Amino acid sequence: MNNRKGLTIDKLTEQLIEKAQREGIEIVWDRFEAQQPQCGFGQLGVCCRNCNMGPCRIDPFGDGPKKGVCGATADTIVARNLARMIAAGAAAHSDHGRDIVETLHLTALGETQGYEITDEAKLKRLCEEYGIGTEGKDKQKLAEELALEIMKEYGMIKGELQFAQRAPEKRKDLWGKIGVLPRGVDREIVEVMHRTNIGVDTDYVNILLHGVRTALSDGWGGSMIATELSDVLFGTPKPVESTVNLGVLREDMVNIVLHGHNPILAEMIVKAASDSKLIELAKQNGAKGINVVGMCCTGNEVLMRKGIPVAGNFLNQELAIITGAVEAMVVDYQCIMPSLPDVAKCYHTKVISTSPKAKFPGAEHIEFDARRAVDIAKRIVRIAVENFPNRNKERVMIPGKPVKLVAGFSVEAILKALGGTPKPLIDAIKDGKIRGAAGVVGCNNPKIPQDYGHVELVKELIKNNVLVVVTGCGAIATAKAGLLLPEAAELAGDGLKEIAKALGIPPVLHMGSCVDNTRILVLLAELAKALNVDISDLPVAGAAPEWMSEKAVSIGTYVISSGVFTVLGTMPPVLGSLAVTNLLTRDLEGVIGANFAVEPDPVKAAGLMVDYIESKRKALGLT
Amino acid sequence: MRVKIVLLDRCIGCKSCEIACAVEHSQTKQLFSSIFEQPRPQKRIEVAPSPGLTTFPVTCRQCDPAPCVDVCPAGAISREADVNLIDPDRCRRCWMCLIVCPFSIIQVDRSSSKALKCDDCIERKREGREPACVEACPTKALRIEETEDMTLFKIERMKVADTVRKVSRGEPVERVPVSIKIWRDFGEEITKLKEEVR
Repeated sequence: MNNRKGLTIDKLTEQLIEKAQREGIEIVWDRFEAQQPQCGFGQLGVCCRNCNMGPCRIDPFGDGPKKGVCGATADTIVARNLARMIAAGAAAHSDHGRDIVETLHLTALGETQGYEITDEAKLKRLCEEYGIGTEGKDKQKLAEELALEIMKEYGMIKGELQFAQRAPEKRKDLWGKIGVLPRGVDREIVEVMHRTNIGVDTDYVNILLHGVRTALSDGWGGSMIATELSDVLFGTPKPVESTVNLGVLREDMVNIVLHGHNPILAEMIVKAASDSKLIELAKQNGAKGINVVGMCCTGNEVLMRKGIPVAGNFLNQELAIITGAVEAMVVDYQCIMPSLPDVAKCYHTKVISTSPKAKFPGAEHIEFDARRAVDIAKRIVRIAVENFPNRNKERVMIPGKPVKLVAGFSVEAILKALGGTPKPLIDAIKDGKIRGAAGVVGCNNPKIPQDYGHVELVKELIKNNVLVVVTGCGAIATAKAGLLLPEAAELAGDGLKEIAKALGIPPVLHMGSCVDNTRILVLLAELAKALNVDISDLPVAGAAPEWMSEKAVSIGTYVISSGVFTVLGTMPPVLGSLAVTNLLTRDLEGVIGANFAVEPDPVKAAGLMVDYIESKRKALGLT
Repeated sequence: MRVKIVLLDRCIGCKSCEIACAVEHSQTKQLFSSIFEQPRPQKRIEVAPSPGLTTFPVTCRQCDPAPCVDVCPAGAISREADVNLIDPDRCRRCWMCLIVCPFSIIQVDRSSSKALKCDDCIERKREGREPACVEACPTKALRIEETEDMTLFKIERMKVADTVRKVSRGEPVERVPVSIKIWRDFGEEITKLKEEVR
């Protein structure tokens, strides 16, 4: 690659991109360039590979084929492809949730090693929500009954999702009226695969409405299960200070990077790393100790609950290894680049895969089992410690100092910061000191300079007195830019600055990993109920400025389906059908009260969001 | 004469022409078997990206007079039936042709290390068939026009030049459906944004 400037706005990342180039190591931006140009049929969504009469393509210029072999039009093909993206995203989140339920169940039965029920109060609240009597039952018994009850959410016995009941009445009525109330997590995903099979659902509106239902079964189902039960097992996050960027790696310590999405193993590794014997072994091997850091959403999970520093977001994963200072990169699943073992081969770094669902050729596989979690975690830490002497000190480059941050803003923590009720926030919005709120979430994508979309958008929003909540890779991007600090209130408009300073909180609140977008849904439902309106009446907006994952498609869809206008920074593969494009960006508002917009320029995107928020204020009679 | 025309506004970068070209120049001429052949079949056409989401299939223009024909000291490149053909037996691997080609379309044959370029599917031509790339193009960005009247050809070329000029200035290109226009405008915006950050 010739020009390596402007790939990222993170200066530390830039230095490591240069190191990769000096050392001749191929990284994500090289592969992105090698893929150019990317196929227009794929980008427009008009390539269908759903049966073996194909693959078929529709000519977007209208001269060539207008239908696939089966007769599917561009509208059908685009809708089917989009529905499958939603299904894949919902499946990823919900299967993550499934692993947490299973662990909770095994823990309740006393079969796991090292796990305990940490947030008993939340466990009780959830049991009450599920109609499980709590009288005279200990926490093990409650956890067992709750886990079994939640397992039913995945199947077809119940026919409805309990957590969807958390939505405001108006929203639930609307979902019922248009027939998108989710019935079961796995059921909706399977039904997408059925409907998009050759010769089943052809009506693009009908296909997309089921896409909406599937996304809702993620947001108000699988993802929410993952968030809530992780809180039960490991504790509900509270404000916590930590540090971020590639500078969190330590030259004098054994560095272990926890990468992926699931906190189950990561929590145990954090514990194992404080084992005195292992620390002693690290010292014998010439290190000062063991430094555990996070990456992507596993990083967010252990940051939120344990204050573990975060090395970076999605586009930083290869570069962490390229520092030459990582003894082990431990991965679970989702957003883990298949290239990691190849990059690691150039150093002493061991990539250790742990999930039976995600193996990586070239990595060492140590399969995780909750029944032996402590033993496995210690074994992994030991491998890292024993690898320290293999580090080539001459090739180590840790490019700068970490940035401080405050994270841990669960809904419970936000309400506590507000004094126990959402009223102070609602008052600030009514007074106009805070114009509204925005969620800025999602991935990194080499199509956008890394972090630029997130950081510039968030800066623009807070300048306009919009309170921002962040999750996932977006949260890490804003953290690296120093926006997750109370001091960042100085960058906010006068009203937001005043409120943030009075509460001692940052103007940008880190609410967790990507499954934790459900925390935003819960907060929105609380606000809507307090005002006796629908979520779609609130002065709020969402954005995914650098999205790339199918999970983001599911998130975006459940967010608009919950009534929140959402701006995407990269183009979804739908333009091949103007009917689908118009539905998503215009007509959906009339159906579910919100739609998508696409705008890569973060300043313009902020403009769209602020205008939308102002229009909602006006409709509520606020000035 | 037969001329190959590229309609720039039609290319959406699917690279079907690249695959069809490599298969056509394989031993078996079948996709599923050609990918296992040794030496691996080589394509003679390349879809190149340009700013935004515009793409362009770069292939031999069969120039006349042709710099490659003129420069070859071994006389290995000759013009036959409006096609500039390389005779590998006469190629001395001096790469003068590669240096002078204004379109950079001459490459090295991976198996023989001799000069390699588009032969305009001369075998197919003899059978009265279109070149493989033209046949494979799903959006008709590559076309064959049979004409004795070069003015028509020149008019098409003028249109291509006009499109290139408009695209490079970010001006709207005619004949493009609205979805393609939105898509390309989006690509332009991202390119500008990247330049801004740079």
